[in-house]
Amino acid sequence: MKGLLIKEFMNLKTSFFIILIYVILIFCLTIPSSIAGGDVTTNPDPITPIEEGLIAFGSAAPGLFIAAFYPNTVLNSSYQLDEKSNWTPFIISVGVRKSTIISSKVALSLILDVIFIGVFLIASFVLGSIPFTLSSVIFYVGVSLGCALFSQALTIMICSLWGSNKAIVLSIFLSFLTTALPLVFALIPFFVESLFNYLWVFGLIDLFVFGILLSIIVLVITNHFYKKRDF
Amino acid sequence: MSVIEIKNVTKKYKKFTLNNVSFNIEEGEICGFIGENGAGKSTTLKILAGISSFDEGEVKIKNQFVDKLSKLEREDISFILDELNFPENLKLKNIELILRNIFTNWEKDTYYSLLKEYGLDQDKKCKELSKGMKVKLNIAISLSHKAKIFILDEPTNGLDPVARDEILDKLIQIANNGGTILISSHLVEDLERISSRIIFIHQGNIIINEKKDALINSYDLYDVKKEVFDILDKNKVIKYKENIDGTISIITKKDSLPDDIEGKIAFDLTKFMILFIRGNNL
Repeated sequence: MKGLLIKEFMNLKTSFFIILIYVILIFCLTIPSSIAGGDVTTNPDPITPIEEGLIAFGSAAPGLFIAAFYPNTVLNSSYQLDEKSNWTPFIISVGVRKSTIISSKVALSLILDVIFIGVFLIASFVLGSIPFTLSSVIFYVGVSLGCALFSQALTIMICSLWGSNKAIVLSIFLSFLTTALPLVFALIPFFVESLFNYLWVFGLIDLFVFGILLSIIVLVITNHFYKKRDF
Repeated sequence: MSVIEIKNVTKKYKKFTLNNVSFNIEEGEICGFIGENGAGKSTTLKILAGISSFDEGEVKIKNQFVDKLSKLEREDISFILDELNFPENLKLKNIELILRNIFTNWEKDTYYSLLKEYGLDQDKKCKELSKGMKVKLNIAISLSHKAKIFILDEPTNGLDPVARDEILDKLIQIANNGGTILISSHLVEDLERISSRIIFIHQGNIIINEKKDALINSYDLYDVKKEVFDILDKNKVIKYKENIDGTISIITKKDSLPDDIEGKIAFDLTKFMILFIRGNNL
């Protein structure tokens, strides 16, 4: 596992400048949007606190949202490099287990999530686009990390089972899908009115349902079929 | 002692079947695995390396089923492709850092001394290496994790004659030090030079599995004129093929034709293989 992670980070090192440019671009996006948005009371038709929160999230801290999806791109390019260099058959032939390969990709995505979401969360606080309270931290981290983990689990599944080329198109689609899921979730009146009247509760539910529970299910399925895959 | 044992292995694809493949390779042997493209060489090697599954049969390495080998036992096996297995931007010294954390038996000093011996610069990136250098690096890596069984899939493919010669010399050196080698190639002359056993696979079936000397002593090759061919006892001809110059190449069992038949040529594995594949039966 350690060797595999070292290889992943050496890959990242080679694409350091591309990542840096991306970080700067998102950062630049965060500044104007945080100036323009952020105040939920200016929204014309707020329906529920959750919807208000999600709208504020999209307008006030888009960098945080985008940062949640960026590790997908890094994961995808990591798989591409593996495929191009025949890395996976090589490590399998020397006895590295397929489940370890999947685990190394999960570990990579978790580390990237911490870095990207962490950086943009701090940036959003500093710029004042999101309020600096415990409940807002739980909400913003919960939703962005929930989306990030689920979409990354799907990317790992597609890349592992069908190859990274298919994942490029599908991961874009999945990014939209996973972004839309919490919104759909919030629009269901039953949930909104009876259970999650607080943003932080919604953040936690989003993290556990989408981020952890569904991701684990996707990764277990991936691991099962990956073990049967020939190289 | 058999180091590699393959028994009745079958793998079915939609358009191809690896059919009841069986062979053994002894310790210290260099075994040449010959066949045209798509004959089933790579599939067989991948099954041996544990990266492809199979439908029926048994595959054992050092008397252990291949899917039951522990990580440490797997480190004894080295699967070498003609390409490098690392991202192109990595330097050779970066590779060492990765492999040190993957292999239990890794020897850093061996790696760097082999890089020096093979003329490979540790500060070079993988993408800066020539094809021959990449094969040498793969061999250096295998020796650095103390591999004893080498499975090579077309390692000399696309190399210039000098680089090929160098690689083949290194493989002979490995076998002399007790390593067991299974090498596939369609460059038959390479295998003829270094192999002690020849396995010939055609359309997923093993056609020939013999010691090289025994093979040379089992068959005769002829290029005969048509009028000579017409009077031959056709029961003695295993395969024949008409050539553009009007002569007919034939394979027979050793010394099965009378001595006065003209056109006998020195045994040539390439010609033998082509005749076997493209030749006709009588």
